[in-house]
Amino acid sequence: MSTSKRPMSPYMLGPYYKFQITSALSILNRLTGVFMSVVTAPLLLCWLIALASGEAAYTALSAWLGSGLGKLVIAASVFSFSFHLFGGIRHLIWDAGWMMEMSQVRLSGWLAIVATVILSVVVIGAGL
Amino acid sequence: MLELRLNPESRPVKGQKHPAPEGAGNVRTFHVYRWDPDKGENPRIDSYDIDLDDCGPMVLDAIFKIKNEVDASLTFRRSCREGICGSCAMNINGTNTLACTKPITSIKGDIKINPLPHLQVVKDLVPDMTHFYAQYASIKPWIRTQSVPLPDQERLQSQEDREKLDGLYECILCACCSTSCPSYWWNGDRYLGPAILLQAYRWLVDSRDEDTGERLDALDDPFRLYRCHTIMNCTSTCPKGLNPAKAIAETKKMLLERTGA
Repeated sequence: MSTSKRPMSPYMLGPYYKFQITSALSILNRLTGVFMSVVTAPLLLCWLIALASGEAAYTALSAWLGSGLGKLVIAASVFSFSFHLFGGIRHLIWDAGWMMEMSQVRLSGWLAIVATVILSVVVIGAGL
Repeated sequence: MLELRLNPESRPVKGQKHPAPEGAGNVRTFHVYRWDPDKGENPRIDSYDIDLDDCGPMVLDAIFKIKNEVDASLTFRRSCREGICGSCAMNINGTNTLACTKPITSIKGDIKINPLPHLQVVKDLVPDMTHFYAQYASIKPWIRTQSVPLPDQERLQSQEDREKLDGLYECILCACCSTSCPSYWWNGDRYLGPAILLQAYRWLVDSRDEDTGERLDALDDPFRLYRCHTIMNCTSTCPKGLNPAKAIAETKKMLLERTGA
């Protein structure tokens, strides 16, 4: 019989379990979703409230959105939206049972990354 | 429950270093997880320098060499040494696989060997599989029928129906996939995990099984089945080249089709 309490075997992504395109994109899909829920959506709501509250509020918010931090938040929101969009499309395809061989999973993963970069650059570029 | 770090007693510390014998030419270092239940200490990572010119080709051969020549107390499971029993499943350089079918030459640099992730360690590389096997039993992995069998004939299956089991029957329940799944790490108490769900699907698509409805009822649960978020670590790591993620997706489709949607 064992005399001491059994330890838990190591598991953490990174130091003990290799990060791969599978887990990396899955966690990025989560993070971008959380970011949009916690930051982007409330920001859009604030923007609407500011619009309804009159010129002073709207001007103040617009000024903040034009600042360095504001621009960074907008850029992160655009990136999050882009990645979550293509990640979501991958999940829809998988839910139909398609594209689930590892070679296809890697291909669609890289396509999602490239598409995210292109869409983000186009949208951010258009806004400059 | 979401735990991002090991509890303090489970964190491995640096262990002993065992140098290669004099005159060894082709030396590689193996870092092996060790834990002795009789000592009450933290797990440690011991390092062994092994002369590959005097060692078999697979990681399991190196583990045997350590046990035979350096430290006889090194504890691990193994049986068939040809990838059919699933005993020597472990984490090798960050991914789960069978030590007996993993060539040492397929790894660059030092080789890190840990037990399968997020399980209770019994000793060294031997994890406690009790819960995994209990989950397997919970899906009733045998043929279940309603009809009375014919007295003079087996339950026959067309070649076409038999082919539906290809890619499923080969599963050896080594648990590499389940213990590669972050969702299984954090919800393994209630989520069945990829290995067991692949086995469940193996019975769902067996034309001779007549309990499909009840099998689907048992799986239709937010945790047992739907904690699968299609991360795909399972399919990526399967040492038999099977696709548990696809089996799970097909199971979800069967449940959806059953609703008439």
